Amino acid sequence: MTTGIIKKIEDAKLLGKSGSCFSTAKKWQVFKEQKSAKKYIICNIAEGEPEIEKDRYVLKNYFDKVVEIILLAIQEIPESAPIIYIKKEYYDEFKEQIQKAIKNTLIKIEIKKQGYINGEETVICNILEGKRAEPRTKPPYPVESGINGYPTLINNIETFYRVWEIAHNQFEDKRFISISGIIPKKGICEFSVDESIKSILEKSDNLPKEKFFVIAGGLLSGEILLPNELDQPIKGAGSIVVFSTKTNGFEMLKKWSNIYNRENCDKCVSCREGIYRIVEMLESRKINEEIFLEIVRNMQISSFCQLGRRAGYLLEQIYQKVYKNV
Amino acid sequence: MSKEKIKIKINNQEIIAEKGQTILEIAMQNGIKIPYLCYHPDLKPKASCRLCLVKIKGYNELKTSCSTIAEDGMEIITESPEIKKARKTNLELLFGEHSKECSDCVYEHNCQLLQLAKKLNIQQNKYLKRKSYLPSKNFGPAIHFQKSKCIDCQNCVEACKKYATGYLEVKEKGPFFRIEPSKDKGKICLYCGQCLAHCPVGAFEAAGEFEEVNQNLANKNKIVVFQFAPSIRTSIGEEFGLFTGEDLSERIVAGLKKIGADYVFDTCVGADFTTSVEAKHCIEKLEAEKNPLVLTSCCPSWVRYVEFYYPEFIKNLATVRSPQIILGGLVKTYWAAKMKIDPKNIYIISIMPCTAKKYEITREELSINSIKPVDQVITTREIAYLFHKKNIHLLEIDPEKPDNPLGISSGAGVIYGASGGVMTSALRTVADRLKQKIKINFVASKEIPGVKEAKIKINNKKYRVAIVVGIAGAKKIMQKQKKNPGYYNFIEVMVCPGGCIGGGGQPVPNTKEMRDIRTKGLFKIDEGKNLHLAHENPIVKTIFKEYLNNEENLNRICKTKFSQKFE
Repeated sequence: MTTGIIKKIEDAKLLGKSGSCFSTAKKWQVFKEQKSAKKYIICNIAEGEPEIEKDRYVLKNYFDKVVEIILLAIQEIPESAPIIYIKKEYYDEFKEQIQKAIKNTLIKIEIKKQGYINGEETVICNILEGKRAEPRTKPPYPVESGINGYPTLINNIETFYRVWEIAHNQFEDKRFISISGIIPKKGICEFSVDESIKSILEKSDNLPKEKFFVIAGGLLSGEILLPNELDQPIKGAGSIVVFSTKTNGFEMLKKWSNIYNRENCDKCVSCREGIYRIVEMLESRKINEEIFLEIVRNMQISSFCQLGRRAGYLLEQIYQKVYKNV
Repeated sequence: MSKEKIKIKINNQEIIAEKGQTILEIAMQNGIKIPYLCYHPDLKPKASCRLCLVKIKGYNELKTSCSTIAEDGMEIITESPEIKKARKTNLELLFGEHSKECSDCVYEHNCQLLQLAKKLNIQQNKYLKRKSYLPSKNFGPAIHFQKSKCIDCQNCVEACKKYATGYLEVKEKGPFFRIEPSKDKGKICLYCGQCLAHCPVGAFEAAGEFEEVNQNLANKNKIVVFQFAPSIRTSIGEEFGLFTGEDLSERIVAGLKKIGADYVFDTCVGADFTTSVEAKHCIEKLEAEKNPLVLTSCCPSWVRYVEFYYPEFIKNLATVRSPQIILGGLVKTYWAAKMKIDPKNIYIISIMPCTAKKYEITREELSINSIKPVDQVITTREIAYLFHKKNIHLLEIDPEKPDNPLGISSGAGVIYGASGGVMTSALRTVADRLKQKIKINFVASKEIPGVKEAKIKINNKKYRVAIVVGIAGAKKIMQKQKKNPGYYNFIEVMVCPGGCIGGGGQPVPNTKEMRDIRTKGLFKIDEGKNLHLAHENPIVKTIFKEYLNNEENLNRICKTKFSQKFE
């Protein structure tokens, strides 16, 4: 039985704002039900996707409200120790504001080390235990067994903010979206969660005049959509990056695969060796289509974690939609 | 209380399983084969090799069966074109990491990578070998690590942490990580070889000296004497397809004779000497000290651990030589004199389950008049490799008895190969010498995993004894002893799981299931013997009477000393 704030979250049908879109009420309820003398609640401000700054936006504008909800969560689940897990650049930028807001609370700050995967929830647990930054097998989920085996609730900063809206009856099921690329008005805007990408670009006055495509849902984990595919809401992280069709597909493949090669955790063979062989192929400047597709499709079905699967998907999309069509 | 049951379907076959089991465990129990490399039942699932992939209804992506806990109602498919393709792709990628040197790899016959490559019919050289430039590294005189073969599964790192000192570490190098020995001066390798026992691709091997062995076998002026450890006899069959733990002693002897051994003795006889001396050492301690502490010293990895990490306990290590060293010493002195052979012309090779025994024979203080008691140590896997190379199939040759007089042991000497064996053998002799019955009832420690404890009564006084497997448990025991001096009185420590039968040089898979079979085999041999007391072995009695009857001989053949080590 859900009660109190969790019941309100459930009624609001809030989905997590990191991009995974998991039911927040369910996550909180499972966390609450765990029998453990010690628990952790983590507000995740890792924001690892390049060019996205929507978490920074929430931090800058609504941090007091976020703290209010973290404290409410501890009231609801009193055995929990609260932690703010934050990207170093953001902490440096907003240090005073953060310190002021968490003064006289039990909230602790943990600075995130540089690294794309370091914002994933099981990676966070490993890092906070002093272990190597690599994802864990799920289940068990962190809400059941997280840091040192204790139940650990990890939510994106925006999720906490949306809970604040719910708590204050101001919830309209919106999300923040970071818009960037070859557009006039870069920045963060707020739209209903089911607003289509096309409508977002139109309403924000950002529909490009030249031929374009977008990567929606995260620059490294999202998907490529062509102008005729924009009649759908964003899946994944709240971001739209607009590219010109003049973008060099080969260079784009190279850039993306180099980032993945550097940023992946190397735990599993599909992603570690797969990406490396793509990088090697691109360095030789000869793409063997059969092997390329075999590797990226294999990443999609057999990588250990979502990041490897998404990387394989986006590389295939860049290959098909940008490299081959240009 | 019986465990909760679940019902699942694998390949449309309904299966009842226990809740909490992984899909791979259930499949194996039901005879459904799923390929894997990085899975090892001793270790946590890593799910990194991506070969045990299966399809679970309701999921787009494939799941690794080693890491996925089965849930009630799950429908699982283990073979399909999609699964086969993914396994093939992943295996080809793995081969891109593994430099192939199969022609002179000891692991060749066991290589899971090679077996799977043939089964899945993959292109082994699809990708350039990305690690071929990486140098190899030796860990002391015991272990050879070829980084160019490593597939990054990290099994060795976990095994090293679980059984030894955590000497192997994961180091970030550019866009990849690499397995490297620690640079921390406070950590050493114990040479136990659990890294190689848990490596699926032979990236670790015992540092073998086949050339020297072959040279000596070919040299007509050399008398080549082999001895073989207790635990070998019930494990070597696995290298020839026999997984029953049957006693193959006489086939080992015959095989060794076929490759050119002049004499073959049994290390169990050495163990009878070790027991006799160790029991005497214990009785002396019991009589001289109010609260004595004796630590066993047969496991060279454990001795090395104490000498580096716990120098304050060096004085407690039993000052008796290990079985192979005593037997080697007797061969080169007592036996050589009887046979009128110059000991310099004797070349002794020990077949051991252990890589650390390669290190033990290099210890200077063991020399007898500047002659090493044992010249070479070869592991079970290495001797099996030599047998295979020379087309000797152990199961198809006529058995031969070991040579006399150092060929027949008591049952006590045989059980040395299993955890608890040294302690049991010693206490049997202590009891007999003191004409008492010692009741021993070992109970697994609830506090420390890998430890069994018992309270025993000798001379109406109570003593606490412990049997330990693995350094993790040993470390806790030593800390406890440090806090409460006098808590324990007699501790047997073996670094490898199950004792020597789970040694780093033993056949693979070195799993609990196989270790239990090997152990049972050893205890069956003990049961079948008339003689269970080491000191009652006629040859032990004879040699004590004829040769070890003075302090000088006793000290140089049977006793040793230990000292603090700094690296």
